[in-house]
Amino acid sequence: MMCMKMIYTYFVHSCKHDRPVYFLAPFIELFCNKRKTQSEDHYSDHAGKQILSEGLVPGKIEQFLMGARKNTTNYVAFIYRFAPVLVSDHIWNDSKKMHEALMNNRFDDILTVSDEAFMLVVMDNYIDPWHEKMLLQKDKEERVSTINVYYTSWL
Amino acid sequence: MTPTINRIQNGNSGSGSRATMVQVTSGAPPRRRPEMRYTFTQNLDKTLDRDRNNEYNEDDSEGQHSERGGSSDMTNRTQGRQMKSGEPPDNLEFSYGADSHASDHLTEPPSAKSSSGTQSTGSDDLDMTLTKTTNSGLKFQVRLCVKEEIFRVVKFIDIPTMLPFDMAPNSLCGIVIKYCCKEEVTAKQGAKFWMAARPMVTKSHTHVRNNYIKGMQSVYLGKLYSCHDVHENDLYIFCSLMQT
Repeated sequence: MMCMKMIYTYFVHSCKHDRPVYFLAPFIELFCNKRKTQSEDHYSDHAGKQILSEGLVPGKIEQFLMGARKNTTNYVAFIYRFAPVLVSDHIWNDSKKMHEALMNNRFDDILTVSDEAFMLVVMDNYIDPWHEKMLLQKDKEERVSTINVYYTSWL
Repeated sequence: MTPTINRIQNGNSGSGSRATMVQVTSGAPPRRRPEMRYTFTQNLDKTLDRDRNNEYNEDDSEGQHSERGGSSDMTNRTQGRQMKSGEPPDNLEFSYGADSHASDHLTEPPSAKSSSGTQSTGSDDLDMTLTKTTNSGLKFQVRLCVKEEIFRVVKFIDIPTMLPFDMAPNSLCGIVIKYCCKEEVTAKQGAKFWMAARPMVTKSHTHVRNNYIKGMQSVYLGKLYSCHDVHENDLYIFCSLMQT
């Protein structure tokens, strides 16, 4: 079994080499600016979730993440969803700070290459147990919802 | 060099439960023993005797109270002074707070043993003077430093290569010292500080990493209560991601 640290170093190297975050910076800014109006925010969020729901499953995760260099839409959706966990929400949603960082080509102050590689490693490593857990929760939810109670407490 | 055997008997105990301690010494010059190596009964008797003597001395004169002390905290401090003057300590209690009011707080960092526990006990937490860094304060500072400075750059720490003492500003040790100590620190002070902060760095780094993984998990899983009308797996993920 490979160590998570080794995979992390591989991802750091590949992220440094390709620099997808810097390449994707204008797209991320587009996403952030769309949060100004509620309808556009809903639209962008909806689109991102749809992309992630199709890509972030155990069978497709490698193709989704490794092919993200070519398909920038997938990657922007992925970063837009998971980067606020590493970068705190109040920094990520600070549009002024974000705009300054992107305009001055200093996106590294907000999201480092190490952060990006860590996200990829975690997603690659934990997608199977998380997916299984989600399916188990779904089963549990369905099982609970089918139970009919005999007596109600409100009458 | 012939070894000698000393048999010590405790006269206070009864004949049935007579406590006997055998002490074997070699002919070599005696080494200085650490304070913690004393037996419990011996020390208990001696502390009780000392308390009784202190009560008498308090009645006699108040000037001697500052030297011997009535409370246990003061007893520790006086024993620390006795050690400094050269007399051997005859009590087992560990005198951590002997120089607790030193002007430079880095000269006496909290011990690593007390830092590993969840509850920090001892005289350092009760010390209300602002001249010394308490154990919990140091832990808080190190955690903040790890979260804001170190984890942004390093996600996995290799302990033998990354965590030795190094005053260079780019090393992990240098970053922590620069973050936690606002004043200039000498190499000796930095080494003492790093001895106390090093286990906290590894522990809090692992803690922060696990927290981020949990955060990503919660984003991935989402909340499930609104998915009751969706039966396809892919659609289910879509729905769970929507809730976060």
